[in-house]
Amino acid sequence: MNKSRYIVGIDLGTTNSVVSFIDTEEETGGVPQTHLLNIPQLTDAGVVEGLEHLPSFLYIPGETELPEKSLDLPWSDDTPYVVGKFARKRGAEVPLRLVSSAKSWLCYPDIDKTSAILPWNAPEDVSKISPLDACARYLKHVRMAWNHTMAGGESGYFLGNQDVYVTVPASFDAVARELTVRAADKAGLHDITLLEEPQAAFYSWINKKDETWRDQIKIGDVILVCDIGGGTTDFSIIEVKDEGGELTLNRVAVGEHILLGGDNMDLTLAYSLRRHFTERKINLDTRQMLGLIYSCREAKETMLNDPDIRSRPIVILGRGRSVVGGTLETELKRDDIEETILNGFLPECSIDEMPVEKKAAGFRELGLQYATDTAVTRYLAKFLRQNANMDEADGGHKTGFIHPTKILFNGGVTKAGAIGGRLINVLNNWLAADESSPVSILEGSDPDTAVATGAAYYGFAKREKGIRIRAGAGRSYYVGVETSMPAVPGMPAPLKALCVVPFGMEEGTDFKLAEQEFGLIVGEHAEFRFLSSLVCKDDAPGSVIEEWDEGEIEELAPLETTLQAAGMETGALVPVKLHSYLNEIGVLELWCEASDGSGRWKLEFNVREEHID
Amino acid sequence: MSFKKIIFAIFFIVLLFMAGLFFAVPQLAAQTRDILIGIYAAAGLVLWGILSLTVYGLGKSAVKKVTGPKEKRAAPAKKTAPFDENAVQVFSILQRRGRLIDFLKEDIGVYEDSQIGAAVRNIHKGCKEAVEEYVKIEPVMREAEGDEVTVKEGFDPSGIRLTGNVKGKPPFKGILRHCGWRVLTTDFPPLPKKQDLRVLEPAEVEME
Repeated sequence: MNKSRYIVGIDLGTTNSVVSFIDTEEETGGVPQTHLLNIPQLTDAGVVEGLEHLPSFLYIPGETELPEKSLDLPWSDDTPYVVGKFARKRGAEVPLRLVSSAKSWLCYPDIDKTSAILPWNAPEDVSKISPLDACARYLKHVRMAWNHTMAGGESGYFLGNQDVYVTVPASFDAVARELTVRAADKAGLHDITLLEEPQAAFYSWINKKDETWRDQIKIGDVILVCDIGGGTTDFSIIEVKDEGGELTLNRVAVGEHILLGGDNMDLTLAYSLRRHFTERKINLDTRQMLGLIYSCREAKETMLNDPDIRSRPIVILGRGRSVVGGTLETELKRDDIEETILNGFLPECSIDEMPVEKKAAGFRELGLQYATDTAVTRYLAKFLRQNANMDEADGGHKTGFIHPTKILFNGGVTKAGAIGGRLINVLNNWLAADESSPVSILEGSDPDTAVATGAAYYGFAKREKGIRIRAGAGRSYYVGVETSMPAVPGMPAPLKALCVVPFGMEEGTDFKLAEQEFGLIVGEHAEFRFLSSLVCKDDAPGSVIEEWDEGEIEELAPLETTLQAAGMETGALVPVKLHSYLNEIGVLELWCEASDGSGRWKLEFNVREEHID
Repeated sequence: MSFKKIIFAIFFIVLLFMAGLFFAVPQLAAQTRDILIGIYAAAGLVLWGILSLTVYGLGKSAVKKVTGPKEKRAAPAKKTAPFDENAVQVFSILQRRGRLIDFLKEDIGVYEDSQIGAAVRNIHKGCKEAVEEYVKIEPVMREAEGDEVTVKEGFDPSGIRLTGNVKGKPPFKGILRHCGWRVLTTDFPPLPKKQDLRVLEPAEVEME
């Protein structure tokens, strides 16, 4: 694409979306200046205001519940749903019409992400949408808001014609990434590039430091990016290496998608305080619970930022007109916070500990694991250990885990000083026990906006050939191949994994798997089981893995195609070989190519219901 | 269609029907009489129709003459009395964000200070955030209260109020007791269209 005037970063968050941009025509004396887009949205019925974030909530009103013209936006007066602050507000009053956390649904393994299932369990008369649609609508709102605010009527400045970068968690697998691209496409953004959120956070830090960032980082540094948001926790490791005298940055490890975050902490606190009311025989209704959660969040943040405060009052105002008369009170004590948050979510533990896993019921693990343990520190221990082998700079450390030297925090939860402080304490204890020095913190970025501003800056660095983090595929990917062993009744056929994409495969490259040949039948639906690993980093494409430990390789949505080809008779067998591409925008493509060169067919992710046969 | 008009219509139909019957010759054969009754009823309906439209067009006075003694209903206060929409918007914001109107309308005399205090913390927080969002307010005089200040010649008496031993000509020396407040900017969102702008906060009906 011709160089567009604006470079735009969109942080499509689980709870809040933020849009940042760089204006390449702005005079800034060299260092690019990132700005946040003021996003017009409905904040109340019929009231449109601009905010620097767009809550990722969608509300579907009934026909009569809102006044006429309540949902009018500057660019549309016939949208039957609402996105943003008003959606969140109204959704708190009528939860069954609210779509929230659509992004988390994109990596939920066992549902059809393209069918209309949200709001989950909503009654018949609520017109539902799919998780894919929800994400598309958030992006569409962003696009329309941008065109209205920034384009001044010139189509050259429309968002669809700018360099757009959309961030995804580093732990998002190929399926979730492709769904994100499809959502953008549906929203009218046909030309986006994906970027991992922890990397974006790091870019933002680089940008904020201007040129002094090189003073804070040296060759051999191992940077742990620790992103704890409202709903998810994401770890990444970036190594600083020397290549021909040049400092280079390599993203070498990615953690699993941990569905655990600030919201869990607030909920836990709120439920523990609710006991104070149930003991007095007072039952809180939904609205009062929401008020309690909100008050807990605020009180928690205040206390975690000021160690001298011993307790905070928690007040829930009465419903109806007796606001004083119906007031319910309790207090949140520092001890509650220590116990619940610090010991519950960030307990001291040893580097050897594993998160407590629930035993899986079925014979086969499907998809991503949900956080069965609330201890973020145990997940961190597991992450550092599982990725130990790749780091040559580590040398022969006895306990076998990555030794970070620097830490970068991101995500709203990390704003509370005590939380970051506790994590660092635990980490430093592990390091000290292994004779390494403590980590130092990379300070200066804004945890609420870093992902968006970092994405915009990344786009700039790409254009101007500035420093870039080498990343490539954050996982290795495999196609499931069943062995030709005789079937034993009651036992699943053993599965082997054929590596089609190695960990670290660079964007814009491809692999032809020359050795394995598969027979596909014309006119018939062909399905390949698809798996990925965060830890098997040394598997080369074409290699076949016969055995793996539980959790090392996990199954994702299957790949499928139906062979249709002109001039081929239905039922004919076509020998094909596999060809994998990791395209420039960060999406994986897998193709079947006829061995005689007569055709090629793209395998698509089957994101519909998984069948357990 | 209002109740009054329906009563009037029925009254008129019955009247015409009776007239029709009165003029219908009782000695006529039953069949013919039935036909006549039908004709008179139909004629009555048509006449009523025409009259209703005319009366409606002319105004309410004719209707009142018929229905006046029947119903004494106080006309509900129609939405015609003028009000200041922008002033209402301010109260509406303070109610929705801070529940200020609920608080002011409540009889707080019966509650303990601690209960009032606890509630006020929340109300204060909500109202404060709303005010800060929509109005930029600054002190009229920047010095600290309790400090000695000088009020210059040519000062604006609408901005500075003198108390105590007020005599002589400016400049005046005195102690600042209240810094005063002045609005710098207001930035309220546009009023919604197609809504009853008198509503500070809608009533809430929770569905089971």
